[in-house]
Parts: sequence; C-alpha cells; structure tokens
Amino acid sequence: MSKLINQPIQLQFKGSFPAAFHCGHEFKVKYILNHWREGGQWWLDEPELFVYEVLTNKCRCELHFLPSLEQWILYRITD
Amino acid sequence: MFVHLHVHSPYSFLDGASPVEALLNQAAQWQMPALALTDHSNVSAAVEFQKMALELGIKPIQGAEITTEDGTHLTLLAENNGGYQSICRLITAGYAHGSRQQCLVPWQALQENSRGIIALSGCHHSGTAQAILRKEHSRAKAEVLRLLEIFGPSQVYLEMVQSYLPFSKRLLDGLYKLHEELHVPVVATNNVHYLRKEDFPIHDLLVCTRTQTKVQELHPERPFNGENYFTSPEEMKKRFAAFPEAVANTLEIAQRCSPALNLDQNLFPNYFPGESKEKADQFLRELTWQGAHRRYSSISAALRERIEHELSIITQLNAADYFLAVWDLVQYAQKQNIRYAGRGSAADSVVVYCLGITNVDAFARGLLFERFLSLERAQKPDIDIDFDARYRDQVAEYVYQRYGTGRVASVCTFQTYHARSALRDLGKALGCGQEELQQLTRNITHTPADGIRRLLHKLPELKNHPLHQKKYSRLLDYCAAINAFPRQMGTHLGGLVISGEPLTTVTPLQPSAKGVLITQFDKNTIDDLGLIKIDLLSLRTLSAVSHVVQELGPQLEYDKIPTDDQATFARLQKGDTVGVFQLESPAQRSLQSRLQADRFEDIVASVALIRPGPIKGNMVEPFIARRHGREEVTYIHPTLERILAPTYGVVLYQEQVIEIATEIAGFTPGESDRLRKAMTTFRSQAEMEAIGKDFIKKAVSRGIQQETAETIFSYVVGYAGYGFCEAHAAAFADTAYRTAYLLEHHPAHFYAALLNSQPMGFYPPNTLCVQARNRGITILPLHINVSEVEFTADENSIRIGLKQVEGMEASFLESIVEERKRDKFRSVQDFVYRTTVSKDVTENLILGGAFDWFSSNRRALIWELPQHYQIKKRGLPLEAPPAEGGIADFPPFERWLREYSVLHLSAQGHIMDFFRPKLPKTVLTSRQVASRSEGTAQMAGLVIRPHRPPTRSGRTVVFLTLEDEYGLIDVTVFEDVYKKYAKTLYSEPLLLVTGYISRRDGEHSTITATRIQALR
Repeated sequence: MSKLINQPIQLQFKGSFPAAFHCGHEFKVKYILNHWREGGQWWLDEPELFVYEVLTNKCRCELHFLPSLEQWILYRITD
Repeated sequence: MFVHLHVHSPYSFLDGASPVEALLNQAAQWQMPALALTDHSNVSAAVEFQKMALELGIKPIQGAEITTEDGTHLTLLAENNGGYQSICRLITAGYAHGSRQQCLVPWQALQENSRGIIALSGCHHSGTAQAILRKEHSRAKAEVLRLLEIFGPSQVYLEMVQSYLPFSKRLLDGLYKLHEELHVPVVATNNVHYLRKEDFPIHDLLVCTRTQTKVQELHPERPFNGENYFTSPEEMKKRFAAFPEAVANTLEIAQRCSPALNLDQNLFPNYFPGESKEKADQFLRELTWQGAHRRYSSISAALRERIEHELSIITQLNAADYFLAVWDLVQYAQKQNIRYAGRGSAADSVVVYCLGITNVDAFARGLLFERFLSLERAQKPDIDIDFDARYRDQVAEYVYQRYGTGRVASVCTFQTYHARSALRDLGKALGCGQEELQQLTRNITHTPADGIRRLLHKLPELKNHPLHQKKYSRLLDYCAAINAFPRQMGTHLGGLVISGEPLTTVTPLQPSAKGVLITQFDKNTIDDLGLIKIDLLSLRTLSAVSHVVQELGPQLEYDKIPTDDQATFARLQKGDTVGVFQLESPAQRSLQSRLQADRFEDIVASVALIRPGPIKGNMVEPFIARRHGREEVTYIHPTLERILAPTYGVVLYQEQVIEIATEIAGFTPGESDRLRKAMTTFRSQAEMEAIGKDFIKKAVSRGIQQETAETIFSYVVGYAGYGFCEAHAAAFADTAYRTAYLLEHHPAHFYAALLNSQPMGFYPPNTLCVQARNRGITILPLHINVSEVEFTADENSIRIGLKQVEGMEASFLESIVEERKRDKFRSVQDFVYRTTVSKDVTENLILGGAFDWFSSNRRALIWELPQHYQIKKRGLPLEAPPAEGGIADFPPFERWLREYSVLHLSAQGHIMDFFRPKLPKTVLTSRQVASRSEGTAQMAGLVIRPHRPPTRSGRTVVFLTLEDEYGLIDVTVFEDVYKKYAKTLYSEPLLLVTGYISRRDGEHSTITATRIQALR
C-alpha cells in the first residue's frame, strides 16, 4: 500500500546522499533504492525534478526535490 | 580521462540535436584523445567527422548504433577499416531485411560481418538491458554470450549508461553482476544526443517530430530527462564513482581503434577488367584521335598539342577509365536515339568534345582545360550530362546492368531544415494547429532557419506577421538551433557512383523512395571515399526538342540547324523568347532586346550575364554598352587584353578569373582554384581577403603597380557570387540557340512540345498558350474523340491533350485510347460505360470541355453523371434519364474558371476577357503598353512569378510579369512601392498596376509600378 504525502521536509545529507528527515516522526535512510531525474514540462518552464527512492527505518519513501523552490518533499510512502 | 563512445549527431535523423563540429570542438576543449560517432543505422557524417577530428588532434572512432531484427539496440565501433566495412555491410543488410524506413539487422548478418568490430552491449533498448530490466537474469546472460560468440571475447563490452532514469540503478547493478560472472569488461557511455543540458528541449522537439507527437503527449521514445548531453570527464567520473573501470575502459577502447576511413583512394572500375592501366590509356587515346578527325577538318599543331596535353593529364591522374565509362554510356544513348548534351566544366575539354560527350569546341573557344582538370589540384573529374528526361532512367539502368548490382548506386541528398520546415515541424510539436502553422509559415520562404528574425524585420509584407508575437520567440530560437540539420535522406537527381569494388566497402546502401539503392554520402563527401560521381541529369527541354524532331520528321535536321539564322536572331533581338531554354526569364528577355544578339557568342554571354555574380558586380550594363561601341573598351593592364577582349574587357567567366590570377599574380593552378571556389560560393569573406592580399603581393612582385593590382582584384571581388564557367555557358547556349530556332520556325510544334514536357521552364502552360495565340496559333479545345494523349500540333494549331486533365492517370488514358480504336464515343454515357475512367476524372473531362461535342451544357452533363455510373455499376447499359427541367449551364465566367481549374489553361480565351469590359479605357492592354515608350499607364492582368533576385544596390526590387489576353508586360516594383503594397502583391492572383512606362535601348516596354491594387 502506498500513500501520497506531498509534504515539505528538511532532508539531511551524509556526503552527497540523503541520510535523514523529519515528518511527524524521525526517518533514517537505511538504503537508497533508486535515484532518477525527470525532465518536467520544460515547455511550461517547469524545472527538472530530482527523485530518491529510499528505504528508511519506517518504510519505503519517495523524496522529490523541486529546484524552483529549492525544497525537498516527502512525496509518497509505501509499506 | 574519458572518451565518449556513444554519440549521436543530427545524422541520426531527428534524434541528435548538436552538429558534429560542436561535439568535436567540445571534445578538443576537454582534451579528449578520441571520440566516437554512433548514429542510428547511419554513417553519413563519417567523412566530415574523420577530417575534422584529425584536424583537431582527436582520434575519430567510426561506428553506428544499429537495431537488430528483434528491435533491440547494439552499439558498434569500428576498430579499423575492416570494422568500418563490416558496419557498412551490416547497415545495408539491415535495410534489405527491414524496409526503407527501418534498418533491422539480422543476427545472421552479424555472424557473417563481425570482423574488426568492437561491440558495446547497448543502451536500455538493448537485448541485455531489456532482459535485466525484466529481471530475466539468465536471458541477459544468454544475450551477452551471444555477443561473445559473434564478436569474440576480446571484442565485447557491457555498456553502462547513467542517465538517471528510474531504472538506471537496477540496470547498472545488473550489468555489473554480468561483468563479475562472465568477466566481460564494462564501459561507461552517456548515449549522447546533444551537446549541453540546455539543448534538451531541442532534442525532445526533434523526437516529437519523429514520433509525430506533441510535447503535451506521451510517447515511449521521448526522452525522460535531459541527462544525455556531452558530459565532461569529471561528470562521468562522478556518475561512475562506483564503477571506475567503466570510465577507464573508454580509453582502452580508444587506444585499440584507429581512424577507419581510407580517404582519397580510387575505386573507379577498370574499363578493361584485369588488364593493365595502359590499355585504357591507349584506348582513350585512339577514341580521342578518331573523334578529333571527325570533329575537325584538319589537325593543326596547336590542336595536336592541346589534345596531347589533355591526354597526358588524364593519364597522370589515372582518369582514363572514367572518361571511357562516360564515353560508353553516351554511346549507349546514341544507339538508343536518346538525346543528350554534356554540360559543366567538362566542356572545357577537347578530349571530351572529341569523345562526343559535349558539343562545345573547347579548342576553338580557347577554353581552359585546367578549369576542369589539373595535376596540381589532382581532383577527380566530374562530367555532367543532360538526357531527354523521359529516358534518363533508361540510361541509368544501362549503367546498373553494365557494372553490376552492388557496384552502382545513386548518390543521396540530405533534405535539411530551413525556415519553413523548421517552423512547421517544431511548431507542430509545440502544439500549434494546422491553421496556426499556415499563418506562421505564410510568406516565410527561401530563408535559413536561423534567419527568420532577420527576414521578419527586412520584408515589409511581414510587418504584421504573427511571428513577431512574443509567444513565438522561443520557437524562433529552436528553429535557429536546428538550421541546416538533415531531416531526411533523398536521392540526388542525377548523380550515380560506379565502383570497381562492392560499394559496401565504403558506404552502406539503402533503398530510396524511388526504389533505387542510394549511398549514405552526398555529393560533397562521396569523392573523399574514392568514388567518382557521374551526373546523369534529366532535362525536359531535351524531351521537348525530341518531341519536335519526332513530329516534324525529315522536315527538320536538328543537328544541322544553321548557326547564323537571321530570323532566329531577330526573334532574340525582340526579346520574344518565352519558351527558349535559358533565355526566357524577364531579365533574359530584357537583356535580349538590349543586347541585340546577332552571333552565337552573344548567346553564350547572355547565359553567363544573368547570374547573381555579374549582376551584383555591375557587369551587365558595361557589357551591353561596350558590345555596341557606346563605351570604350579599356584595360587597366595590357595583360588583361588577351584574356578579356572576347568579353569587351568585362570579367564574365570563371576561366577568365583563373587566367587573370595566373597571368597577373602568377598563381599556381591550385591557388587559382582556391580563388575560384571562394569566389563562386563566397563562403568566407575572411578567405577572400586573405587571397586578395596574396594576389596583390604576388602581382606586385611581378612588377605590377600596387594600385593596379588592387583594382584588378576588385574586379574579381566584384564578380564574386555565383557565376558560370564559359564552357557551361557555351553548352547551354547551344541548346538555347537551337530552341530559339524551333520557336521561330516551328512555333506550333515547339509550344506543343513544351506543353507536353511540363513542368518545365519559367512560365505556366496558360502563358505558353497566350504566347502561341499571339503567334496566330489556334488553341483547339479538348475533345474526347479527337484529342490525343498529348498535345498535338499542325502548322497553325495546337490541340489540347487528354493528359492535361487534372487527375488523369495512365490506365485511364489507355482505356480511352483502346476504346476509341473500336469506335468513337457517342455520348457521356457511352464513354462511362466503355472506359475505366473514374467519376472524378470524367467530371474533369466534362469541365475541361471534352464532351462539348455532345452537349455544350457542361453543368447538365455533370448533373447526369452520377446516374451513368450508377447504371454502369448495376451492369445495365440503359439510357440514363435526361436531367429534369432543363438545367442552365454555368455562367460564362464560372465555366471558364472551372475549365482553368482542371486544365491549368483555357482554350476559351483569357480571364481578362471577362474583366476587360468592366475596366475603364484608361486601363491599357499589354499590346497598348508595348507600343508606347513612355508616359504613365494602368494595366491589369494575371501575376506571373513575382520574384526578388539579388540586385547590384542590395535593395529589394520585385520583378513580376503581368499577363493579359494579348501578351506579357514585365513590371518592376522598387522598394518604396513594394513596402506599401507587398501584401497585395503576394496574395492576389490578378492585379491592377499603375505606373510609368519605360523602354531602355531598344528594350521592350516595361512598367515601373507606383501603385498596386487587387483586381476583383
């Protein structure tokens, strides 16, 4: 089961990799499952989107970075 | 350090967004020791890539990304020339197995052509990657084992691409697992499709064009992100931090590869296979001397010396086989009675004249052989021949049969992006609708895709063009970015290459739309590969000539037409030359009436004068004035007299420029040729300046004063632009004079022949009919029982042919002719029942007047037509019921318009016949204008070919022709008037022009417009 969260978070890094964030609870990244970039709708001036899929101590999470807002978002969680 | 081994250029056709030059420059900047080029099933950029890379000190690695028969991708790199040949054979096999649009390489072909290839397992579309992504590990392993079996263990690498796709991590992990298991090395690439990350939208738009999607729509082939750019070595190290050996292995591969193309070899076949080269030399010598004795009544010492000189150069350049091959094919044409005429710089050769390839006596004209061939340039010969357009393919077929399939192919062309095509494709991809696209491309013509903004500000008719709107600004940027990118491949109109070796040793072959095999290299690069092009061109003028010769039979000995026919020259002097080859444009007609040509040399000069070079160089008026003794012929240096005397001191021909450079500055033939190239194409202002400095320096060192040398070079610069070589002008002039003779002495047959050979020439069919009527020739209407397939003529009339009807097909014509042999048609119903002609075309026949013989009420005939077809369908040859209540025919004007729309001409007169009664008497006819030499005038007519040629002043001047029921009048529209009325000028078919009449030096009268209105 997955749930759309779409909440801004403060993501902490260890080196250049996501390490932890807080969103109601403390999430600690155990493993990076995947990492990709999406081109976005460039014709509407939508910026590129950076995505991490990580396994945390709580669940599997999809983290999005919005360059226009310079903001990380907890986009979705999967149990 | 890192080397990019998977790179696409625009020759991946709508899948590469940066030019080869830009990619190489970036590689040089990052000091990459090598670079690979791997376009999709294509090596078209190989020559340019290799030459440019070597100049930059970069090792070029030739390659291609191929698609196998199961749709998976594979990246192939040529380790050496053998590997390149294998790739050429594989792509050829792929097109043979797939289709014209899709190259699908069979695995069997890979088994048979793996030598010299290093195979990278491929991008995420590869068999290996697809299996990994489907989590089919054993299948992935099998894919790699198959590659190992085909290419050998040392020749296969697992290709790792980190472009941050959702599955990239899984794919890279899977590939690395295979590496550990099978000990196949890994290699990093970035599957490069564009230079910079910011170029991604351009790539996406090109892919949208290829996949016919709009940016808002999804398509699996569209790129997911903008990561496939030309990444720096540092970026690649970062992306492959976990797999450093993948980066290191790019260098290992680069070291193993060598530049794979053998440039400047000669692959032309031996005329005598297996025999010594001397045999071909000797045979050419024999044929040349036989020809010389035929062509010349006596052989002077000078002529002997000239022929020996040419033969010596041909022998030293190892070109005898080429000359013999061309001789052989014109022999075939002669035997088949196919009319031909050699043209171009080959007419500078006496040998070519003696071989019967050209009709220009280069010796008598004193033409410079070095303009065609020289030892110093050591370039390959290039002979162009025009054939009767109807039989050009037959001659080409002879060449295929003579040299064998696989050794003959047509040269390809690249249709490249210019303003209109770029706007259309990219606008569509960005979501513009058809109507919007029509608006955006309206009046944007003949402009490079990066020149649209300039054009919008330059042309007055574009003042309110929608492209001025801010919302299209980015579209214009994208268009500029793809300027001159190849969009698709086509077939060169005439160029064939013949090879002694299978062509696939140097180029892949692929089928063209026409069905013939084409090379992947165009005329600009094909000779670098060792192939020599022979241009077998189609010339419809020669078809028209053959028509006349055939129709007139023994009445006309075309090849013995007298060269001094006064009546023909009188026609030229009147400027009454519509239909004459090369001399019919308004500029030429005007020139003819002012030049008052009375000898063949005048015609040669005419052909060369109306070109951008001489026009911009202000040579036309001085030439005419000097020709008639109104201006003194002077020479700034005595040496120039010998060179320029035939053209009254005016620099008119390319040969003269070469001679000036040789005589004045002591240029070598190579240096002169560099000048000729810079001059004829005006490619580089800087290059021209550099040559100028050299010219002046050398001239001064030969004792010529600095100022004189500068003036002489200014003549050359003035000539710069496109100009003809004299040999080419003379070859064209020969056909021009002969067609003028036909126009003068056999007008009805000649006009009919021109009408049969359409599309050709400067004027539409209707104008030819107007001209014919002015010569007292009656245009007889279409007649279903009398009209032949083609236009036919007797001395005083031309009958419209059935093929002129819009939509007419060969099978319909055959059906009509066959049935007519049995019995003439007795009614429309009879016609419908007995032929296979479609209802639409029968309707067009009715509108064109073919059935007026039965009933002149065309509307009624059309009304009844569906019933005839219905009855025919039921198989009941019954009489159709007549139309009820008597249907009135079309009103006269509508009747005329409908006839014109299906025939593109009218036997019933001119559209102006309908307007004339409504016009005040102050609106003159063309005949009235022609009889006046000055004063103001108003004239109305159909607009023919408005155009903006280059002018000496650089200002815009529009020339157009107004056609009315009596003839043609040329109209000049200067910039101020043009700016005011540009929209009307370019959008209205009928115009009312106010202006003043002028007539220069015996020229026919023209109107200079002061006001332009639409005539409705």
